[in-house]
Amino acid sequence: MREPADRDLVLRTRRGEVQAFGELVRRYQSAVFNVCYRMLGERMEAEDLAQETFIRAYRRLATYDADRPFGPWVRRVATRVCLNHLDRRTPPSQELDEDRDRPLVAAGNDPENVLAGAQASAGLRRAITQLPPRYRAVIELRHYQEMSYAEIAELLEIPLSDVKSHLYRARKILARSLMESD
Amino acid sequence: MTDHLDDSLLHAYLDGALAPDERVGLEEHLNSCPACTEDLARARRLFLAIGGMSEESLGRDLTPAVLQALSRLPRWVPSLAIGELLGALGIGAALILGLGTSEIVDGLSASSERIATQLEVASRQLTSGWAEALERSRSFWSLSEIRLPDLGSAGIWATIAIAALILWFVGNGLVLGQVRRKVWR
Repeated sequence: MREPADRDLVLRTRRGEVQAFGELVRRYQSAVFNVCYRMLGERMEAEDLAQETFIRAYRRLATYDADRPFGPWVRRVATRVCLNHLDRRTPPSQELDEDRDRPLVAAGNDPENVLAGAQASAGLRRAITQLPPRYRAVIELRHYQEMSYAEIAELLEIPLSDVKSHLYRARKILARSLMESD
Repeated sequence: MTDHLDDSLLHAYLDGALAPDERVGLEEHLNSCPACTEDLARARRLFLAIGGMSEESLGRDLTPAVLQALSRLPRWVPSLAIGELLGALGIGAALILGLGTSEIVDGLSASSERIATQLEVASRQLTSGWAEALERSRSFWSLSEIRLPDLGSAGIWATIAIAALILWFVGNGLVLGQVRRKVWR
């Protein structure tokens, strides 16, 4: 039997069929968890936030356009949930710590080479969790959700110029962190 | 060549965020500058590394916990259902108040003429009622002497109810439109 489309499940949920939403959770829980895990770097916390994401998504289903794909929408909700969580948790000083953004030293080693190998993902994940929350968010939205600069600016409610500078600085920090951990 | 491309420009290039003329200029420069070509290759490797981070498997099924949490929330009630419900109530009220099925099918022109007349009558009655109330307030003897102004036939009330419903539908549509534009991205 053919599986129901996401759109049908959303419409059934809107008619009050909560089990239909359960099917959406089953389909997208892994993707949502990975957004949260990249943003937070801690499994248990990521699972909690993934759960919160689905509850938030359910409550905001009225604002979702059922003619557009559900997956990208719920991953964006996850990013916002994690960012709000980090904003509440992170002291403002970390967000403004521009010293972290000093220029890369001229390196004989290519910093990106350290990414080769089995530990690359773990190292990168650690490096991402060292970023200020908004830098993490732009990396998540650009590299993993493939959003344009304009879409990121709209979602995070920041100017386009901030998206560009956050991305650039975040990448520089990531490259440096990876090089240092080599 | 002494002027090399800025890293941020190379990043924007890889992001596909440059304007067509900027992209052409950058590619022309790359064709003649090995140093910038190497910078671009390094940036590309970094991009690939970031994008290539492996996905982790979720250790448990979140569905039961989510459904349990949702069971404690009020049921999701679609706004359309509320609209339909209120619409049905409005029609029912109009029928009960004596608007009558035959009057509904009389046609828009007849209805609009009648509504205009009824509104005029209601306006006069409200004005005279208010003046009467003011007059009474000057020589106030007892509560039993206060009489509510007669607002006329049930048709007036039906007209007011229909106008309120129209306002509700239009207002609700505008508000929901704003919310959807803002929240869905």
